[in-house]
Amino acid sequence: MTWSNRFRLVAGLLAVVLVCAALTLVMNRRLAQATSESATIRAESLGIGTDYAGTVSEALVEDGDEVAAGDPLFTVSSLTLQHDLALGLVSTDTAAYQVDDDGTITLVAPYDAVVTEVAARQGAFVEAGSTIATLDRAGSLTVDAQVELDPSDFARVRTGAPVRILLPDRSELTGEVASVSVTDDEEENRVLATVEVTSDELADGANDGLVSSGTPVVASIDLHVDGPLAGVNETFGDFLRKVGL
Amino acid sequence: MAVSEFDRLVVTPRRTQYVRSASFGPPAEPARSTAPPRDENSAARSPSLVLIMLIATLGVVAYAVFLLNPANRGDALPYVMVITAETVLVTQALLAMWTVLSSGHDTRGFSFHHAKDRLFDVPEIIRDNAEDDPTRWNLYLHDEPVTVDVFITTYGEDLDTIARTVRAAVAIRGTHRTWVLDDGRSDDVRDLAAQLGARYVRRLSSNGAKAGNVNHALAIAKGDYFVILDADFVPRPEFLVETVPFFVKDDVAFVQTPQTYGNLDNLISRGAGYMQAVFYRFVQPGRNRFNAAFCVGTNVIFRRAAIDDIGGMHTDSKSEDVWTSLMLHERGWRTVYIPTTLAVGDTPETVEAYTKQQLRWATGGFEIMLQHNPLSPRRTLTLDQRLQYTVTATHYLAGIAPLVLLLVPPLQIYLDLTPMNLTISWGTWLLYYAGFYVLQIAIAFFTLGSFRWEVLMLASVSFPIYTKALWNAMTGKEQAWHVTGQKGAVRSPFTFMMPQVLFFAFLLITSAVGAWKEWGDAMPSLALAWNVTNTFILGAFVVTAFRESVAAKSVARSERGQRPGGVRRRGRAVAPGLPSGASFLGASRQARHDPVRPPVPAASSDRADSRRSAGALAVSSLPDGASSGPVVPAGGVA
Repeated sequence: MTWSNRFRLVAGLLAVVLVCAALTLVMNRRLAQATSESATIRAESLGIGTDYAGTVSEALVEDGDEVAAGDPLFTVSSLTLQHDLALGLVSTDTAAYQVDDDGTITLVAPYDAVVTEVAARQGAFVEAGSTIATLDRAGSLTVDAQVELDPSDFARVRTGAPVRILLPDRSELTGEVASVSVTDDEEENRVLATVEVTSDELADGANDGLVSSGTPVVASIDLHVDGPLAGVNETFGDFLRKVGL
Repeated sequence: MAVSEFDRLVVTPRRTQYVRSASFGPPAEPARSTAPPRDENSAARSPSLVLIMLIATLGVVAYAVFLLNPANRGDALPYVMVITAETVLVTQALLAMWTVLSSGHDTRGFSFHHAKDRLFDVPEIIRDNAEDDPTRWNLYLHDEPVTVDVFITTYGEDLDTIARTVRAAVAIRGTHRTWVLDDGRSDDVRDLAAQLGARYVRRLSSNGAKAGNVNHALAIAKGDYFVILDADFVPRPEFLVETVPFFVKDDVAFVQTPQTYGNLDNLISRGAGYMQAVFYRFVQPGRNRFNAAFCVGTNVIFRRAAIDDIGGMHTDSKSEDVWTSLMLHERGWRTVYIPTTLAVGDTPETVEAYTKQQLRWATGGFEIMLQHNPLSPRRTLTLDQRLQYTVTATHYLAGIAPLVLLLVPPLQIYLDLTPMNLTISWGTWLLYYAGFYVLQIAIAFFTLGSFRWEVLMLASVSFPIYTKALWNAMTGKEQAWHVTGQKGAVRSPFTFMMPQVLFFAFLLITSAVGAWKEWGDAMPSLALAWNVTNTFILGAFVVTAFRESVAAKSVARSERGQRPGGVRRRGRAVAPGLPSGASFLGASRQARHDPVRPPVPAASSDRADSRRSAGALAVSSLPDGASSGPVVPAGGVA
């Protein structure tokens, strides 16, 4: 074998090692992450309803209206309420409603929110205990991610671990794991983890309205790494950051 | 008392002349004391072959359906890779099976046997007192004497190898002239030819490699038929007796006989040899049925008129044999292939020789695919021939398929890209996979009587050669190897298999990474299992090469010790008796590396210009004794 051939061989082997190293880093990075099967932005939601059956005498809000705390939403006039008032069984005002003496109840927004799913119009009859509308609390957006995990990986999802949230327009937000719970997927015979992700960047209506309740996203959760190569990835990441990549 | 060949000739009944009706009762002749002659290709004529082929076809179809089922589809990139590679493999397998099924056809008809009966003129032999010398028996076709030349092309092979071949060629039964066409320009070979009674031809150019050499010889030898033998193929005495009668049909251009190998004693030669066995025992006889059997450059006898018709052997390609056959078929000539072993030679036994041989063949195939599409309406071929030449042209694509398939498991290990749906179990996959591959192995078992893992190994590690061949055919480039210029030095096999070594390293690291990744999993993934298997296959090849390298070094060392000053070997220390492929590449390489040639005397170059073959020539022992070349050896001493 000539020296030029030896040189070629060694150079080739070096190239192979480099390619493998790069691919291993990519693999590691992926292994240190769990990517959601499905994830959606959700808001803390509250069903607005009344304990008294009656007629909606006034619907003050519609779907999508933003309301401030204390804003009136619906007025329901109820004969039962009138009766209870007469008996003195009802306390008049709470944060959720105000009761008038003529037997009408005005439901108010307990906090700043967006109205979704209005179930009753003016003049409609509502039953006791039914939900008339749903309020999504402003600033309460979280991401619910369904993640398929190996049993050993359950322990690697730590509260507070960073999560990358990919919006449908490919823009990325960062968040962190708030809680983990387990759901059984009976149909496909597997176990899914439901991870709740919170983020300061989840402001309602941001990114051209993409950040809102119900938007499908992809969440990549960083898993806790304590394997032999745990440090290598970070060092490499630091190196890349340092050289400006 | 031993029965001489002449006794046998006289005693053997002329079966085609006296046709007797079969009589009832016990045969009049006494029971045969020896077993009947074995059918050379019994497996090809076996009805069980049809059954096995049918089952294998079902297996192939099931495998194809399994792969193409949308429910089984995985990630796009590896899926497309797998589908592409498997499509090529499956198509080639189906076409090969079809060809093999056609191989049970016997080419020898009445006209052949009739001509064979009348090949020799017994009274003439007695008149010439040649009873004891079958080499002086004149050959007759249509009751006319025919003349045959036997060409032995040499290019720097071992003297012993050449001597063996020349001796056997001279001893072939039937009058013929034996010519040594020496492109190696060795005086030793010249002396050897003279000593063994062969004529010696040397030319001063290397144009057209072997085809050029033969064309040059055709300008001198004027026989009606000519045999081409590589220097390492030792013909059997009955070579002409078994082949010449086919020419009784006027449209037969050549009769090709198989390459049989006598040196199946190391891993490379076994792999390469058995790889060829299927081709020579089943594919070529099958192609014969399509009238598309092609010449393989040696162990072949041509009708001179046919070669004259296409203007000489094709010289523009590395695979002049296939191209020559294609040209003949386009001119409407018929070709014959018989699976009877009439010459035994050597198959490559070094990585270098194997690489060069495969590269030459594959480049030739791809050249046909790229430059001379057999399916084009401009070609005057029959549908049968179009199909078969398309198979030839695309055959080596199947050799590239392993490259694609080798990359699939690493894709899954590193990137989690899976070609198939992950929910498919090992068992399901194995069932369909076996449907294709295991049945192919079963076919090999049935047809060849055994299956050699070496074949599988060589087939799966040869992809860099075929990829290179495709590239060379596309760019019209000639392969340059970075080898030592020093003659006689040991050439490491690793020079010729760097891609394989690098691939081995890649797969080895990938296997390690995969094992680490899946550490603790109950069941290793299919990808890891495959990757480890592939690593072992490539590893076996690397180990083979390593052993070869060590052996070559020790041989070189002992030779240096024994014969200081060295032996003239044209840089071929390891491989005695290289096959033709190596000598062609060698020829072109040598043409580049030896720019200094002695100026050719005017007398001989004048003669050269009047001849068909380009370049100067030096001829010795012409029949008319008119040679005036610079090299005047004494030859043709009978």
